[in-house]
Order: sequence, then structure tokens, then C-alpha cells
Amino acid sequence: MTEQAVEQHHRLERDILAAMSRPTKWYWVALGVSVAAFLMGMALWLYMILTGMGVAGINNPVGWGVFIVDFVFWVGIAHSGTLISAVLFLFRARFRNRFNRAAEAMTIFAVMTAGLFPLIHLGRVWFAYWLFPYPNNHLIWPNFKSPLVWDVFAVSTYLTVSAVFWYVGLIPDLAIARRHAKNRIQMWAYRVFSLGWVGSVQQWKHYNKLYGLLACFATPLVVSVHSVVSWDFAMSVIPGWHTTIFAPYFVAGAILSGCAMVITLMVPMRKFFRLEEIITVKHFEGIAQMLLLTSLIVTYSYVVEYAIAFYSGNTYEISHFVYRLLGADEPGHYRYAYWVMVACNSVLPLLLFFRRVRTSIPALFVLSLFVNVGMWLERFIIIVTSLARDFDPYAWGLYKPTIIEVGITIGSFGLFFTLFLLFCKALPVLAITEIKEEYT
Amino acid sequence: MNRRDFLKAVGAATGGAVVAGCEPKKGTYKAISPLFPLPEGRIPGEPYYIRTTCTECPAACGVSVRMIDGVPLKLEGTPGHPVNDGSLCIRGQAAITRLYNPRRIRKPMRRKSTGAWEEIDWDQAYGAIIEAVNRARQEGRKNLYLSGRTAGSLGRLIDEFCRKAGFERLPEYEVFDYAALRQANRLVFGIGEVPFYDIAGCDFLLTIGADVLQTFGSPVSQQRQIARARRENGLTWVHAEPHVSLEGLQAQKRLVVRPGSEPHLLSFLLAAYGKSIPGAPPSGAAAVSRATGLDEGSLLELAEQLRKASRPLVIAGGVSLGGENGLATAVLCAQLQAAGGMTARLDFGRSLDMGRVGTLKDLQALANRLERGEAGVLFVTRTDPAGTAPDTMRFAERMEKASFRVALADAISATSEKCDLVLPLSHSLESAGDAVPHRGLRGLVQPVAEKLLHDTKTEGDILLDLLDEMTAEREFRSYAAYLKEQWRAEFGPGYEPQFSATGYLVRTAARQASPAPKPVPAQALKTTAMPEGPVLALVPSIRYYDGRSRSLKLLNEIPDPLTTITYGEWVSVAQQDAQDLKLQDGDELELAVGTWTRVLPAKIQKRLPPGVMMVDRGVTGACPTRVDPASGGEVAWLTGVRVRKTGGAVRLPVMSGSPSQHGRGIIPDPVHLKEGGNAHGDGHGKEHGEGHHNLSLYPEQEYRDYRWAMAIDLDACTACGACVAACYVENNVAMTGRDQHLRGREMSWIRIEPFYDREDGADFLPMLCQQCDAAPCEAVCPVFATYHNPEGLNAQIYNRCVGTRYCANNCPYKVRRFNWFDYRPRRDPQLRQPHGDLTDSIELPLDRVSNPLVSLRKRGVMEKCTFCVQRIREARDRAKDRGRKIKDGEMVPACAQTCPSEAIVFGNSLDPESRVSKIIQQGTHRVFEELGTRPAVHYVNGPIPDARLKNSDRGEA
Amino acid sequence: MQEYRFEDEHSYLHKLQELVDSGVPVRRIHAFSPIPVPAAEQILREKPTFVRVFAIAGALLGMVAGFALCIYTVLRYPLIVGGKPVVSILPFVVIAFELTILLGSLATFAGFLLNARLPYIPRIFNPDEYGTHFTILVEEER
Repeated sequence: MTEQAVEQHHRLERDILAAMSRPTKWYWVALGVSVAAFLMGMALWLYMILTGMGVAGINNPVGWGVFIVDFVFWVGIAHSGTLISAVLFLFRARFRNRFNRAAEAMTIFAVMTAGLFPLIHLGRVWFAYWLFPYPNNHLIWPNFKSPLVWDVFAVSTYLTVSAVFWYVGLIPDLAIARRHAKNRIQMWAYRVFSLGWVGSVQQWKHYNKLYGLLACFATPLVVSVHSVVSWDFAMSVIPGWHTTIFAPYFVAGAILSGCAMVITLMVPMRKFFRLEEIITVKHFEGIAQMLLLTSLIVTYSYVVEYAIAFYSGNTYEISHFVYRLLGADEPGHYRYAYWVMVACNSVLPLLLFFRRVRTSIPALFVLSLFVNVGMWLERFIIIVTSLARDFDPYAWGLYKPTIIEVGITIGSFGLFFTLFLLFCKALPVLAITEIKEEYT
Repeated sequence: MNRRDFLKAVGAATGGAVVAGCEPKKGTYKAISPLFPLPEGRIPGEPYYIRTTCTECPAACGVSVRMIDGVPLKLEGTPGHPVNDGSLCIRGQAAITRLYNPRRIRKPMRRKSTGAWEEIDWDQAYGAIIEAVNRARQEGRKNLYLSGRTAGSLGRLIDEFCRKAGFERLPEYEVFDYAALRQANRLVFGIGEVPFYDIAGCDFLLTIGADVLQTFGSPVSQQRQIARARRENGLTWVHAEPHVSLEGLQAQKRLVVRPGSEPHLLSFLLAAYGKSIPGAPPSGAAAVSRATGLDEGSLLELAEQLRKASRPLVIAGGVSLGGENGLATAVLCAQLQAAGGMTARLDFGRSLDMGRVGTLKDLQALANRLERGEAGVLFVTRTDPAGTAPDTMRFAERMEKASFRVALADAISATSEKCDLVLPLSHSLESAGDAVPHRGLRGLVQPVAEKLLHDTKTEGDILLDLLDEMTAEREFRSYAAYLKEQWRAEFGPGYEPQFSATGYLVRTAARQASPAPKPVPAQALKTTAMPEGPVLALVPSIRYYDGRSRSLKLLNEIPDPLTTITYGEWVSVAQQDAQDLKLQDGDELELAVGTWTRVLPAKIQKRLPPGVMMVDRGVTGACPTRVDPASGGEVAWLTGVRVRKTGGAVRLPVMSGSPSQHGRGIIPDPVHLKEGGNAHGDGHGKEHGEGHHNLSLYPEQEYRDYRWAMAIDLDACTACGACVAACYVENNVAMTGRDQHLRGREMSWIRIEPFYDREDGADFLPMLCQQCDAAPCEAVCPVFATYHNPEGLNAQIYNRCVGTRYCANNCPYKVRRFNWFDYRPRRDPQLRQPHGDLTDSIELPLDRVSNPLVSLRKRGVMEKCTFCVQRIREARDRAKDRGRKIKDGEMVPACAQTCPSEAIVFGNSLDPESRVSKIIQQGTHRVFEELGTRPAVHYVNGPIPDARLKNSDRGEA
Repeated sequence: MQEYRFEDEHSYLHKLQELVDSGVPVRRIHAFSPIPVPAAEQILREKPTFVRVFAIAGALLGMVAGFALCIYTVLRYPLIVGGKPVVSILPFVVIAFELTILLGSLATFAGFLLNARLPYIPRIFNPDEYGTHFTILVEEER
């Protein structure tokens, strides 16, 4: 019994740290593609800064387009990480140990990516620092009544706390990695960042308390961040935005997209780094169940949106939601986007009720891709269609993304995957210590 | 070279450089001296006004040019002017952009043998002319002088020139020559003129095709009169037309008659007065109803209204006189005026001065003479026959048969293209002259701007120079001197002070009542039935008049009031026809008449009767019109049109997102109460509107001295768009061009929204920033770039804006505009922003139309209407100097200032005595009030009490 | 200095218990483990940690700072937006909340570092073997 446990511990270390071994050809290819995409995105952004926002498709009345859609999308992705590590930690859901390290990394990278977009969409990005509170010679401060300033605080807080949480989880594993360092640089990096951790009884005592408390802080934070993001819209007067369900609706959506992205990332990772024994189908099933749950919540929100609109008897709301559903006669309206979204986010996930789907890795992988697409579309529909058709019919207009916006979006994926690939080779991709705890 | 020499050299060099740098460049420091000395004690940087006269159309409205340090910034109507009393139309407002029009000719140009233009100087030009004149004399050819409508002293000078230089002066050519109307008045009243219509005095107005709001007669004056008559003597205005026009949609009642059936309607009305004209069409109700397509009921009702009215007036004009039966219509209308005792409201003493304008017959005669090769030197000034005359006349090619052709023009036109020599004319803001709005009234034209980039001359100066060269006798130093001489002779000495102060002189002519009607020859009443099949109407354009304003970018930037199309050409098609042809907006139609074919994108126009297609006169240029043998006028109704769908399609820059307001009660009208039965229809807004006020969790903001507010009378508003043009010029609003418009990026701060919701007709609503008390845009700005200022204005701080565009998203009225690119003009074409084609960015020198009191907006910032805050500040300073508060009406925004129908009232709603608060107390409608935004812009369906602006109080004198 | 190394948790705990029972003072016993072993804390009669105090302090500080920042700044340059009063607490709650979380978690982390004596420089330079063995060191009497 204990013999097996000891054996397990050694094998865990070996397998997990094996992922950090010399990268394969395919790794370099993937990294190259990601970096290229990222650089292209940055180049396009530079071009936009030099010429003007006009190179994007946004106009009157649609002042927010793909950039804000991407922002919300990435913030959403960022949600599963902390949720899995913090909330499931508090709920003592064992399967989270298999995902939390990677999920938290994903969170941090996603927030970093998301954080770019408010800057990208700014008309005068060179004055972006005006959004931060600092004593200045204008004697003027940010407007704390503006949801955008709430965003600044929420997102930066989220990034900081997630990073701390992630790092704290890493400390003991870094101490382990010390032994396996392949060169001096690695060795010193691990030594410095493991802070001389020895795992004494006292250290563990404080450590456990810290981890628990951070989890307690992170849990409401997760909920708050996407609520604040949703208030960017809910606080306005625009039909389709101005509704009270947005906060829970967005949080659920965020977790849905987050879980989907976790699956999208973990399936190939598990394959390439041969972690099949450690991450088993059982664990994926856990995530799949969360996916199903949140998908149901999101579906419910879709229904409620319409219910509220029609119950209110408010002309603007009703006609707007009818427009969302059916589009208009002229070409170029967003008629199909809505139905694709419903198919991806509400219908397909229902398959997870079948055990055979839940337990089939390929099925889960494909499904997760669909959900990612669906969630992106959801944000597009909420943001763009609402602006395209608000109060004054004279001011109605259409929005079509330009190549610039598409390119920058691709660039954001480039950034995200670049960071994630680097993480895979630099740090233990799974939480060794926490998994070890399971075998005693 | 030792140290000292080196230093000397350096010193000398730098010194020289500095001195060179100090030399004033042309047009930077030189003072501009108008005709008359300006009052003493002018403070630099203070705006002041110079009186002159608008020369965009024959109406010749009085203009006060707003100047700062000798630079003309904006044209405003002259307060108290007999014609326009402080207002200007859309074209008048845009006139300043003609001064800086990039297409203006800068130097005299001669056609080289290769066919290319070469710039020459004036002496060479004169030399060429004199040489040509002599040659023509030897060849025994006739030298001809063809000009556009000429009024005032210039006419006399031209006569003098023609006499001395041996030219034959031809009848003048205008596209809108009122031939039929003048002919009819000659036949009936013995005076072949367009009388002054005293609309202000009547209580019932029937206009038949006359576009009294757009180009007919004196539009500003007529708009003003209609508005005042509506307020003061409850005018009922009925408009009968064969197509759809702004007038039809603005009148209380619109009657759609079959094209060419106007005479039937008129003879019916004559019969109602118990009068039957021999030769007139049958007047039986049934027959007339069959002919006109109006049901008998409405015919009888109309006759009833006409008879009941105590002071009725009937005006026929515009498209109704532009058809085969134009003359008959005009004659019968004159008869009706006589029979109905309306002659008291036709003042031939103040009739429109058409100078020596002839008809197309005269032009045809000229064309024939050219054909015969009689013509030697041909002068064509201020008119474009080659571009606008009927194509059957083949004027362009015949012109070339004249031995030497000289054009006096400000820009290259179809005519000047055919000339050997083009002499650039000065803009009226650069030149001295006079104008005659109507008989007995003389308008002053004086130079306010130095000729900044153009080596141009006035026609008067050119003629005097030529006389000087030819006859070596020079009486007058310049045309200005000549004018002074003329004026002294005409008005006696001592006319100057008043002339310069008011910009006009009235020679009190006895009111000339129209004499008793004479019997008319029957052939004048000959009517022919319109052939079946689609007809194409060339309708006058409120933006381009007869096409002369086509080249002004500003007028292209502002949407056409009916279709809301900005740039480009189109043909308006009736909804039913569009269904038959399966047309969408923008589908290309090939229109063919005889040999003439044209491919135009279609725009479905609601309320347009089936079978009729409309093309904007100003838009399309030369067309296959015909000469009406009866009147010599133009037949602008093209019959036998062959219509073919090419299958191609283009995107039209249509600014309106929807022709319907979907029952949202944007426009306060009982009609919408009925149709928009839903909760948030207008009715709902009204019922709970008051409730919404106090539904705030927060205490009301308190204002100290002022809370600026606006009231707009939707009955008076005619959707003429003058306010939009005024706003562009006053606030340096960028002109973004067609490509940006197609991307939905127009920049207008105020716009006119048409909504075709009533069963017949339409509603128009001027939409501008509503300066809400609880503005949704303000709270969401992260950097306080927009906030509520202590006077209730929704202020926008451009240099604080970071461009999140959240405010624009959150504005229910969508009146905020974002600078997607740097729309400011670029001196170096290379630096222009890569959006659309380069012609989209403002061409120089249009950048000079910029108000120094309003900052230009950079790329990436939001902008919007602020009730012309710069004017408010100006007024506040002036009031402070005088130790008082701003008086009511002392300051008005540019839109209110120019509104011809005085529909916009602006003032301080804290002052219970101000007109705006009086109106608000009467109870008003506010758009989307149910959202709780508490707007400061109030809409009323008239009447506004005492609508006259206190012009005297306005801070310019 | 005596050293006991174990492969597995059970024998490690067993030895600890044994040592404590045999009357070795807990302050002379130093125990190290690659995974947290709460049982060891009871055996060694460890006092509860102070980290939670830091958490509370940081959180409160953050909340106060949040409101203070908002209210001070709007009073410093009072501008009316959207017809709302200059000091409107509702929106400020969001800022206060975020700062509560931020300072709370940072303070907790700081508290951990202080209590756990990290970073411990000497061990950064020559780290002990960690992650394989459960180790118990017992100091000699002085």
C-alpha cells in the first residue's frame, strides 16, 4: 500500500517533469506559428495607431466591434482557471488537481491577452494612462462612476490575484524542480523562485492557511470580474444591453467558455506529454459535467432575455430581440449568427447527457471547439446587434469587421498560445504536490 | 579665415535669414479694405459683420458676413432685410465654400493648339481677345455677348461695352427662366414678370407644382412668409403636384394629380368661381376627376376651401409649368388669380428681376446663328448653356463654329471646356457690385475677402479693362468707381451710410396692382394629354438649384431631404414600379430617351405616384429636354422613356437607417398614437412623461444663472437643411466624403430625419444633441471628457477624450460623432489618410473655411453639438462688459440663426420670461422622454408665440 | 544532531509520535515533508497561524482605501455627470470591493512570507534535498 504510494510519487515526478524535457520538432513549429501570428497582430495594431480607428469596420452607430468582443471573450476564457483552482478547491472536488496548474496558467495568459483589447480599441491609446488614478497636473482623476474604470480595477485585480495564487501553488513544485534542473540557468531560476522552500511543518501550516484564504478571496473575485464586464453593457440604456440578468448570465457564459478552453488545451497537452495515466477520462468527465451545467444556465439566460424583453412590453426591447432572432430583409444582417450560437452553446452541449459522449476524449475536444466558437458569437451578437438597432431608426446601421480586426484577433490567439507553449516547457504543467497528496 | 571673420559671416548670414523671414508673405499681413471705411475702435479678434448680398440665386438675399480680422468665416442673413430678414437657405450658407472651392480657376487660361489649357496673364488674355475681335470684324462676323441673368449696374455696363466694342448683346440664358409663367402673366396681366407673392397676407394657399421652399421665386422669403402666415393667420396650405416634393410633404394637404392634368384642375376651380374660359379644358367634376385622378370629393372640398377663404392665393410653377401644358396651366392660374380676387396679393411692383433673361427660343436662335457660322467672338459669362440646354440643340458642338470663344466663369464647365479662352471671375465676396432681389430693392455687393490664391477679376473690371484697351479711353479707375458713380446718379449723394450699414437700398416703388385680365388667345390654352408609359421628371434641387452648386462639397455632404442620399446621382422610382421591376435601392436602371441614355442607380421613393420617375435637376446636367413652342420654356417632363434594368448595382450613400419610425413616437403626432399602439408609443411617453421626471433617485441638479434650452416647431420646420449647412460652417464640422458615408461615418451634428409613416405625406424631425439633464453619455466616460456644465450644456472636452466611444454607444439619440481618421485637411497629398479615394479628404483651400473660435478635432476623439457654446461664451463676455445677464434672443446657435421659418427657439429656461420657457410651459414633447434622460430640446407642433428673433438685440451691430 | 529519513508518510508520523512520547521537547524536533501532513502539526502541538490576521487587516484596509480614493478624488474636482450627485456611493462600492480583494490577498501572501520565513537566502544558495523524503531532525541537548 504505502510502497505503491511511494512508487506513485516517484512516477508522478518523473512523468510530469518529463514534459519539460527537450522540446520536439512539433513544439517548435507550434511556437513559430504562434509567435508569427502574434507579431502580425501587433503590426496591424501599429498600422491602426498610425492611421486611425477608421481602418476597422466600426462606425456610427456601432462604436464597439470585434475588439470589445475579443476582450469579453478572453476575459471569459480567463474564468475557468481560478474557478477550477479556487472554487473547486473549496468544494474539495478532487479532479481539479489534474487541471488547476494549466488552467491557472491559461487564466493569467488569457487576462493578459484580454487586457490588450481595451487599449487596442482606444481612439487615442497614447493617453490610455488617463484611465488610471494617479496624482497628475490636470488635477483630474478617473470617473469612478464609469463602468470602464471598474473594468480597469477588476481586470488588473484579477490578474494580480490570479498570478499570486498560481505562484503560491507553484512554490513546492519549483522546489522539486530544483533537483531536475538541466542547466545552471534553470537551476538558479528554480532555486530563487522556490524561495528556499523546505517543507517544514511550520511552512506547511502557514502555506495551507494561505492557500485556503487566497481561494476565499479568489472565489468572489471570479464572480465579480465578469459581472463588472457585463455591467459595461448592463449599465447602459441600449436595448439588448440594459438588463439585470447580465451579471450571472456573463459569469455562467465565462465559465462555459473557460471549461471549453481547458478541454481544448488539455486534450492535446495530455497527448503530447504522455500524461494519460495521470489525467484520465474520469477527470475529463468532471469538466464535461461542469460544461453541461453552465451550458444549461446560459441557455436559461437566453430564454430569460427574451422573456424579460417581451414581458416588459417595451417597444425597443421587443423589436430589438425580434431583430436578433430574425434579422431584417436586407442582406448583411446578423440573421444566422444567432442560430449558430444557439446550436453551439445550447444544443450541442446537451449531448453531454450521454455518458458515451462525456467519456470520449475526441468528442469532448470537438465539442469544446464548437463551444468556443459559440461563445465568441454570443459576445458578437450581444455587442454588435444591440448597437446596430437601438432607439432612433434613422440612426440604424450595419457593421462589418475588416481584415485589420480579423488579423488583430488572430494575433491575440498567437499571443495566448505563445505564452502557453512557453509555460509548458518552463514549469511543471501539473500540480505535483497536490496530486501526490492523493496517493497516501 | 580667422575666428572673427567666421563670426561675422555667421552673424551676417543669420541676420539676413531673420530679415528675410520677417518679410510679409502675400495675403498674410495686408489689410483688407472693403468699399466703405469700417467703424473706428475695432478690436482685433472680435467678430464683426459686413453687409453684402448673396449671389447664389436670383433671390439675392441680404448677407452679413461674419468676419474676424479681415477673414470671412460665415454668412448669415442680414437682420431686417426686406427679403430674408436674418435667414439664409442651405445654398446661401454653403456660399462661403464656393469662395474656397478647389475647382475654381486661378488664372486666365488659353487653349493651346494641342487642346491643353495653359495659364496666361491678363494682358495676354486681353491681347488675344482684341486680336480676335479685329479678325472677326475683317471677316464680317458678328461678335456676340451671352450672359446669365444680370441685374443692377452690371447690365448697364455690359450695354456700354457692347455698344463701344461692337458686340451684340443676346438675351440672357437661365435654366429656371420662368418662361411659361412670364408668358402667361404677359398674356393675362400685360406684365411678363414673376410677381412678388404676398403669402404672409393669406389664409389659404394652393401651390400647383411650385417648389416655393426650394428654388421657385425667393425661397427664403416664401418659407418665412408661410411660417408666419401659419402662426398669425392660421394658413391652410394645399399643394398639388404630379410627383413628390418637399412642398407636398410639408403642406397640410397634398393632392397628387396626373402629369399634365393641372389645367383641368384649374378650370374646375375657375368654374367654382363661376368662370369659364373659352378653350379651357372641360370643368365638370367628373371629367376633371377622370383627368387628374383626384376623387370628386377632394376636388369639391378644395373648391370649397378656396371659396371660403377670405384671402386665398394660388401659385403655379416649378414642374407643373415645365410640361407640355405648362403655358395653359400658367394662364389658367393667372385667370384664377384674377377671378378669385387674389391679384391684391400679386405685387408686380416688387416682381422678381429677371433682367433680360430670354427663353430657350432665343438660345435656339443663337444655336442656329452659330450653325450658320455668323458668330465671330462669342462671350459666355456666368452661364453654362452647353451643359444645361436641351441636348437636341447640340449647343456644345455648335459653339465651336464661332471663330473665338471666351468664357467668363469661376470654374470649368461644359461650356468653358469648349472655349479658347477662360477668364476667371471673382467670387461675390471678393468683388464689388450690386444685385436686385426684386424691383425697387438694390442689394450691395462688396468685397470682404482679399483675393487669397486667385488672380481673378470681376466681370465689370474685365469689361472696363477691355474698353480701355480697345478704345484707349478710361473714365473709371475700377468697376468699384463705376458703381459709386452709378449709385450716386441713382440714389443721389449721401446714400453711402445707409447702404453700407444695411446692405440694401429701397427705392419705394408704388405698389403696382395687377391690371384687369385680358382675354387670352386660345392656342395658349391648348392642352395635350400625356402619352402613356413612364415619364421622367427633371425636378429642381434644393441643394444644387439648377446644377450650379453641384461642385460644392458641403452641399454634397448634406443629405437630400427626401431620400437622405448625400453623394452621387440617382433616379427616384415609385414603390409600385420598383416592385414591378423587382428593384432594390441601388440597382442600376438604364434610362433612354431618343438618342440619350443614362445609367443611374434607383432609389425607391415613397409617396411617388406610379409611372413617374424623378431625377434631381442639379444632379444630372444636360438632358433630352425640349423647347415648348408655346412659351419657349423648357419641357422638363421626358415622355417615352425606355427603362431597362442593367442588373448592376451600386451602394447609395443613404443616411437614413429606416424610412419608418416604427411607432416609436419620435415625432409627436396623433397619427402615431393610433398606429404605435404599443406601450412606448408617443402616447405612453406623454402619459408617464411627467412621472419620469421625478422618478430619479438623485436630487435635481441646480443651475445658477442659465439653463440653455431649445424648442423646435415641427409644423414650421420645412426640412430645408439650412440649419445643417450653418452648423457645418459654424463648428468646423468635417466633410468626410462619399466613401466614409458608405461606411456610416457622416459627421453632421444636426440632421433632419424623414419618417414616411402617415398614410400620405411624411414627418421631418431635426435631431441634434438634446443636452439631457440626466445624460446617459456623461456617466460612462471614464475620464470626464464629457460632463454637465453649470449652464446645463452637455460639454465635450476634446483634448481630454481618449476615444472609448462608450458615450456614443450609450446615446439614445445617436448624435455623437467620432473622428475615425484625421479629417482635417492635409497640405501634402502624401500625408492624406488612406481612407477611400484621396478626393475624399478635404481639398485645399477649403481648409480656410474654419472658425477660429471652434477647435479642430483630431483623430480619435468624440465630438458633438454644444448649442454653439462659443457663441454663448461670446454673448456672456459681452453681457459681462455691460454688467448684465444675456438677454433673451441675444444669442442663438447657428441653426436657429439661419432657420428661414424661425422654427428653432433658443434661450434660458430658468428665465420665466424667455420665449423658450413660455413655450415649455405650454407643454411640449421630448424625444424618448420615457428613458428619463430629461432632454433640453423640446419639440412642439406649433404655433410658437412671437417667433420673430430679436435681431436688433443680436450682438453684431 | 540526529536525522531520520523515511520513504513514506506513515512511518514518518509514527516516528514523530514516538519521539514526542519519549519526552523529546517539540522545539528540538524539526520535521520536513514533501506534502502537507496536518497530523504532524498536532503531534508537535503547533500554534495556529497568524496569516488570517493579515488577511483581515489587508481586506479592511483595501475597502477603506477604495472608498477614500473615490470620495477624495471626486471632491477634489467635482464634476456632475449624468445628473448623479458628485459623491454617489453605489458605483464606488465596486472600486472598494476590488481593492478589498486586491490588498486582502496581497497582505495574506506577505503574511505567509513573514511567518514562513521566506525567502530564506542561505537555502537558496545551497538547497536541501526536497520532495523525496520525509525527514526528522532532532537537536542534541546543550
